[in-house]
Amino acid sequence: MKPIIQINKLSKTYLLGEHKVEALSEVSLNIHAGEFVILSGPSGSGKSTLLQLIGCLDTPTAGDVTVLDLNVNKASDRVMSNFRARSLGFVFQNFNLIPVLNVYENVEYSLLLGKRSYQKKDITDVIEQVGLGKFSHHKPNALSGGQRQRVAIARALVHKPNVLIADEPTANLDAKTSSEVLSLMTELALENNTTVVMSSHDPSLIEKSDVRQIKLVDGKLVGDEPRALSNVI
Amino acid sequence: MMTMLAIITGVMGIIIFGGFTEANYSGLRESVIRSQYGHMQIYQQGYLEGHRKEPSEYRLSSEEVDKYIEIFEEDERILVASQRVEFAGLLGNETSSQAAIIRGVQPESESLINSALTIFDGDELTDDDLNGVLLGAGLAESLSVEVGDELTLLASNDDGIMNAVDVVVQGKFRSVSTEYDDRAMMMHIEKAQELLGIDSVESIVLLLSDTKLLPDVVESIEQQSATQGLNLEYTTWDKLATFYHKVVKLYDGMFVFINVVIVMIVLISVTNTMMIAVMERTGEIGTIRALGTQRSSVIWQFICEGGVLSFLSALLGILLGVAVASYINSIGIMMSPPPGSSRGFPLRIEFVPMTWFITVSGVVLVALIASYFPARNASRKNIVDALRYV
Ligand SMILES: Nc1ncnc2c1ncn2[C@@H]1O[C@H](COP(=O)(O)OP(=O)(O)OP(=O)(O)O)[C@@H](O)[C@H]1O
Ligand SMILES: [Mg+2]
Repeated sequence: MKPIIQINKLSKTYLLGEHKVEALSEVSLNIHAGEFVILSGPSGSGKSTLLQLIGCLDTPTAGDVTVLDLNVNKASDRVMSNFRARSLGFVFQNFNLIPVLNVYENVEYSLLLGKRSYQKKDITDVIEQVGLGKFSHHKPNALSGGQRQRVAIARALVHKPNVLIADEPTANLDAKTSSEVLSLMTELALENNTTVVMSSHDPSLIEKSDVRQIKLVDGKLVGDEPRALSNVI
Repeated sequence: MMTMLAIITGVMGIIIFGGFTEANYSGLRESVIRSQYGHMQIYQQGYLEGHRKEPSEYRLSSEEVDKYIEIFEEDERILVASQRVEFAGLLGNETSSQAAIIRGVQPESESLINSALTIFDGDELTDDDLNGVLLGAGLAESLSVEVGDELTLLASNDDGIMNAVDVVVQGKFRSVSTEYDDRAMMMHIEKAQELLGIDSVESIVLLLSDTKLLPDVVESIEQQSATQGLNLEYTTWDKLATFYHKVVKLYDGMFVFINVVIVMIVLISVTNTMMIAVMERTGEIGTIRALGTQRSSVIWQFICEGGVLSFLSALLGILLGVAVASYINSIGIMMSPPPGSSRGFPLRIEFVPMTWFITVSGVVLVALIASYFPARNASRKNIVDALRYV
C-alpha cells in the first residue's frame, strides 16, 4: 500500500539575520494510513518544523513532502488551504480556539471550511464525545485548559480528516489532564481511522500498544521503531 | 474606539455644517427671490439687450400685459404676477434732493413678492395709496425725511420732457441688500405711468408657489410663447442674484474642504485601527489559516469589519448630528448679517437626508478602502510565524 505521507530528504533551514539554522536535515520516512506516530527528541530538535511541513503550513528548503497526493513544494496557497481544511486536523499546544466563538461554533468552523454538507448533529455528537455537552454555548475563556484542548480535538476531528497533526498537545496541561486528553484523542482518531502524527516530550503518556516512535536530534532522524511494550504504563 | 469617535464627529460635522449651509442657501435664496426678483421676470422681446439704451422701446404694451396676465392666472403654480415700471428720477424737498431708482409697482401683489422686505417705519402701500411711496432706509436717511413728509419726484417722460409729481412718504423699508436700500424707492405703478406718460409696463414679475417648480414653469411659458407667437423674453432669479451665487460658492468651498479633511481622518484612523486589529489578532489569523481558511476570506473578514465599524459609527454620527442640529434649531441662535446684507438671520440647520445617505456611503467606502491594505497584510502573514503569537 502506498504511504499516506512520504518524506524524502527533507531539509528546512531558517535564516536568523545572517545566521543559518538548520532545523531539519535530510529526513526521509514514510507513514502509512492508520499509523500512530510520535515524534520525540530534545528541545530544538526539529519536531515542530517537521510537523509544520507535514501539515502544509510551510514549505521545505529542500526535499519533498507528499501528503496523500499533494506535494507540498508545488502546491499554491489556495490548494494547500483547501487541503488543510478537508484532509488535515490540527491540535496545537496552546489550544488556539477562536475566542469570539463558543464551543459549538469553534467546532462548526472546521466543517464550514471543509465545504461539505453537515448536520447539527455531527457537531453536537463530537462535543458530546469529548464530554463537553453541557458547555456547547460557553466561550473558550470560560473553560479550563483541559476542556479547551478537548474542544480543539473535537474541532480537529469533526470533519473526519485523513491525518491529525498535534504538536505537543499536552505541554500546557497537568499530568492527569494530559493523559485524559491524550487517551481521548487517541480513541477518537482510532474510531475515525485517522492517521496521527504528534510530537511529545513524554511519549510514555500514550496508553497505546502499537505506536511508532520517531526520534529526532539536531534535525536528524536518529530512531524509528515501534515502541517497546515496556514503555506502556 | 478612537476611530468610531473620529467617524462620529466627522459625520456630525458634515451633517451640521451641510445642514447649516443648506439652510443658508434656501434662506438666502427665498429672501433674494422675495425681496427683489421674484422667481421670473417677463419682458418684451429684446429687453435684456436693449433697454439700457432705449428704455421706452422695450416695454410691454397694455394689450400684451392683459394677454400674459390671463395666461399666468390660469397657471396654478404661479401665485402672483405683478407689473413693474422702473426708472430713474430725482427725489427732493426744499432742503435736499437725491437721485433714486424708482420702481412703480402694483402695491398689493408686489408686497407678496417683497415678503422678505421689512417695513420698519410707517405702513405698506395698498392699491389705494396712489400718492404714497416707500423709501429704502439709506435713501430716507440721506434725505432726512420722516413718514408723512411730502416729496417732489422729477422724471423725464418718453419724449424727454421733465415731469413732476408730489408724493407722500408712507413707509421706510429694508431689503437684504444695503446697497439697494441706499437708492431705492417704490410707488404705485399707476402714478408712475402718469408721471412717465405711458400705459405700458416694463416687466411682469412672477412668484411661484415653490422654487422647485421654476424649471417646469419656464418650460411651459416657453412652450406657450412658441405656440402662440408671444413676443416675450424672460429671466430667472438666479441669473440676477449674483450675490447669492457668491455666497453659495464660498460655502461650497468650505464644505468641500471639510469633506476632504473628514475623508483624510476616516482614511487614517480606519487604517490605523485595522492595522492594530490585525496585529492584535495575529495568533487568531495564524489559527484560522492553519485550519484552512483562504487568504481571500481573511481579507474579506477584515474588510467587512472595517465596513461594519464605519457604518455603525456613521449612523451614530448622523443620529447625534441630527440631535445636535435639532437642539441648535430649537434654541434659535441669531447670526450676524452676511456681507452686503442688512439683517441678521436665525441660525438654522436644515435636514438633508440625501446628504446623510451620501455621507454614510462615502464614509463606508473610504473605510473599505482603508481596510484593504491591513486586511491584505493579515492574509499574507506567514502561518507558522503567526501561530506563535497565540
Ligand atoms: N521561524 C524560525 N526562525 C528561525 N529559527 C527557527 C524558527 N523556527 C524554528 N527555528 C529553529 O529551528 C530549530 C528547530 O526548531 P523546532 O521548533 O522545530 O524544534 P522542536 O523540536 O519543536 O523544539 P521544542 O521541543 O522546543 O518545541 C530550533 O533551533 C529553532 O530555534
Ligand atoms: Mg516544538
